[in-house]
Amino acid sequence: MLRYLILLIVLVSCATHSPQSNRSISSTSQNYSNFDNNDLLNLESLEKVKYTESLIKKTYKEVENRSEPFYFIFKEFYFNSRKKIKKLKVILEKTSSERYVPFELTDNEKRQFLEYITTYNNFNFLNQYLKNSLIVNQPSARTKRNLAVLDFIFSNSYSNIKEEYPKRKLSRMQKKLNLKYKYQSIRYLLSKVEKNIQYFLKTNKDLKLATIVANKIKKSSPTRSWSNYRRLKYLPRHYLYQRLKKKLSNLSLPESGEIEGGDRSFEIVMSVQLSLELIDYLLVNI
Amino acid sequence: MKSFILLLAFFSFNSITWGITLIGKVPGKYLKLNTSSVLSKIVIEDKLIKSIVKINSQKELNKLAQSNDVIMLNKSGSKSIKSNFDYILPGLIDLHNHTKQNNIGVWSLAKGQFKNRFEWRKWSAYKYSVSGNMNPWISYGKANECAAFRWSEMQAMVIGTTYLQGPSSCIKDFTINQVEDNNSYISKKGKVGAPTDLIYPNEMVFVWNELRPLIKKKGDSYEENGYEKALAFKINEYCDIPGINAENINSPQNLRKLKDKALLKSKCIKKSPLPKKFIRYIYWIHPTIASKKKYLKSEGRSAVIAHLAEGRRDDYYNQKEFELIKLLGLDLPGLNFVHGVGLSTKDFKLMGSKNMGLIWSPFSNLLLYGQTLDIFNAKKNNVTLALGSDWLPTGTRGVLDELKIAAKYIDKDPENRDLKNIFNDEELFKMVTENPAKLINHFENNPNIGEHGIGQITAGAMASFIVTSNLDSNPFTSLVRKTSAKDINLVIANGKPVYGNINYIKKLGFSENQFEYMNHHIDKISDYNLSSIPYLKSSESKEAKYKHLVELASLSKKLKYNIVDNCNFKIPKVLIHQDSFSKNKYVSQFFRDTNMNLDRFEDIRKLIAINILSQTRNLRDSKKGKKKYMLSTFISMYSCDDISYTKRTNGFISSIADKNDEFSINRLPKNVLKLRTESNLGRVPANLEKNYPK
Repeated sequence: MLRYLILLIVLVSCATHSPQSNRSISSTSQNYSNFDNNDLLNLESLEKVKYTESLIKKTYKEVENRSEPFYFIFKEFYFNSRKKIKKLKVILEKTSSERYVPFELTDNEKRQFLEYITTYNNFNFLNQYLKNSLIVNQPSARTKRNLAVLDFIFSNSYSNIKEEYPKRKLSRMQKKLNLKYKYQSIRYLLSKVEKNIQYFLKTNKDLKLATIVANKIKKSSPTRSWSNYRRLKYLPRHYLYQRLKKKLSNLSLPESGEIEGGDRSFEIVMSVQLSLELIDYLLVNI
Repeated sequence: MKSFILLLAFFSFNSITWGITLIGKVPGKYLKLNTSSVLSKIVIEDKLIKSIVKINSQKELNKLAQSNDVIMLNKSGSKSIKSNFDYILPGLIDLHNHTKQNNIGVWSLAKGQFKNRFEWRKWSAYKYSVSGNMNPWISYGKANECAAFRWSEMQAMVIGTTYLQGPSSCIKDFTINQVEDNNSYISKKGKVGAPTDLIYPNEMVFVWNELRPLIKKKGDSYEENGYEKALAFKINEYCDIPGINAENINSPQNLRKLKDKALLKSKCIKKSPLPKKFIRYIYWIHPTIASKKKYLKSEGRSAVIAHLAEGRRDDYYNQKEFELIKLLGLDLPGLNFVHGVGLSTKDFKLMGSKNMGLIWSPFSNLLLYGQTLDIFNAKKNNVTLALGSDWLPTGTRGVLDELKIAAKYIDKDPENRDLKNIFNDEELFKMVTENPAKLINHFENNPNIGEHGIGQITAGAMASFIVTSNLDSNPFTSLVRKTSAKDINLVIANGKPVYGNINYIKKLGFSENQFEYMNHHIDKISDYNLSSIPYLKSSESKEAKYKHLVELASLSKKLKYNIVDNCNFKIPKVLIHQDSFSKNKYVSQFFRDTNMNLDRFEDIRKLIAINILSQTRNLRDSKKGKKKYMLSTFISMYSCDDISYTKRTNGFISSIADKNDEFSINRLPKNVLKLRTESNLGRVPANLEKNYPK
């Protein structure tokens, strides 16, 4: 137990070390693989999950610029993962395997794992969009290193899961979960848009348009019915949606007289324009 | 039926041509007289001062007194020319306020230890002290925001402010005027712009690193139109977007191109890598800069107010912000800066020559940084100065209180600059009347061209003024040094009586059902276990939050509150109910759902009180909040009911050479160092310095 505790301390300090450090676990791929082979692999499943939990939490706390969309999407992932990890910790208490996903888990327990992995994949999917955007600030080097470690952990976990299910069954399960989390993200991002939309839409007519589109999204939970799924999938083609999208694209920075100053202006514009872009990206890929 | 008639009467009272005649003392300068004050008759019609005439004799006064419509502004209503008439002064103008958080008291942890504004904004203790007490309740529903903004308005109004700057919404036709609202003036000029920041420290690195070398000529001078030339050069260097040059880069057509993300992505591939923040700058920041320049150069502009160089004078980054303004070519008439502590004499010289102004907030500066603006050099270089109160967590309740701090600072004269002779009481008075009006370009009073000035008592000017007790033969000294909330006897905003002593309000024709007493203060909920009041976290849905807010509103009416009255006003103060209720959909919807009327002082107060006392993160959320930062009492409307505020503001700076006042203690380098070390401060200013190399 002591051995694991020491390992854990080393891992945490490695993952959050300063960019200049030579001891950084993921500054080079070689170090990265060293870390994998020598340290994390030897941990029991439960310790692996606990380590992941601490890394996610640390990354969340360290995100510097909270008015940027990266923070929004990581925050959603953080809260999703917290719920999943809580369940996984109970499940893994009884196991002593060093696998990411122990063999001895029941089907339902493995499903919990898959759901946990999906929350990360969903975050990653959204982050891909942000990585390609030239108008948002990218996370710090330290955050990027932490994300690389998370990538490593979740891809290994997924490899374990893959071995557990027939390909078609896994694909079916995954599709359903992807849909669930993508829709959840859409709703989350929509709430961000709604919160600050009044800075950009001033007339009752425009606000009504936004409400109609928002209601269309809210009433179309794709996991409930096939018709909902279709309605959601084809929403980007709807003229009202397109009209709203046009009104809320390429926005100007709003004037904020609030104490947070420029940060607040960016928070407002990002929570409307970028959230809507991400919603669009999710809808197109649902 | 009875209430319908009353309602009808009330509406018609507010909409018909409204006129009153007041008799009181006015500073002689408004009648172009050399005497300190003169008894005058002021006639108000609708929103304007129709006339102002000196009363020369008892005979004249007797004649005027025969009319029932004339109101004698003295305590007893005496008609004798020798009686102690109140002063009629322009309503005070506050050009610097953040109006959402004025329900939180002065931040006890601010002791002059910070280097700049970005440092304390990032400090965790600040976040607990402010966000921890403002959340999650402020986001429960628009009604809470409305209540918070209306609270700020009333807080400023009871100490004589009639024009308040701040990002308020949901205040249309409530009490006083919002500086940024064009309906606050009768004028053809554009809207006052008041973004908190024009310089975004995280974004301006592109200007500093990439454009500055191109703009800077020999020495410290900058090339004419240099910013546009340099930016066009950079765009042409990295992007294949034809037709962009220094002359047309700010044209609507080209600005549209620079706001086209897809175009930038596909065309800015000529050279790689792109400079840091290049696309982000041209997409987000440049259009803002271009629009501000266009506005400031337009004939119909009023003004722009933005924070600049807020921090210590010796903070490296703080000294760079004005240089960034020059690099951007924003050193233009009509641009006014709030704080400006880091500005140098050279900067003042340029500002003075370009008719740029400064808004001085000494209490906020001295609390946070232990230093304030170099008013001596600013004045010497002809920079127009106004006062601003900032916000209650690190400021005062309004400019009347700020005047007291400013006067004491001037008396103390910490840098031995003979400030007392430069900034006499009249000069300080100007800083809350005439000067702010000039800074926002609304001092001009020329009814022939449709311009009705503010900050003055002149025929044709906006009828926004206050009536104060006559506490000194010099009206300026009376206001600056002696007047407090108890001496604000009447407030009229754009011809509309909004607040005052009950005797005056009744003389103006208002009856009991048209106003509300504002005398006592409620500081605690006395009959209820706070933890038994339901609590909702910020992650709940909008609908759940509103439902919760409606329940809270209903509960707040049933609770018993601890009543305090330290003010003991001899004549009760009342708020005149306005017709803002029907004009705001949030307020009217909330009334339908809760029977709580946010046109009423009592309802606003109860709504904020229950939220502040039972719905803060610090109190209820053990993970996100911290109990040691929670508020145990609700803030009072009047400073006389707020003992800790009164104690701190009164004792903050002593006019004599007292080394033990908070001002002096905050300035001691060893104290500053100790606090900075204890709080582990320094990372933020160091990073800013790194981003802006010499």
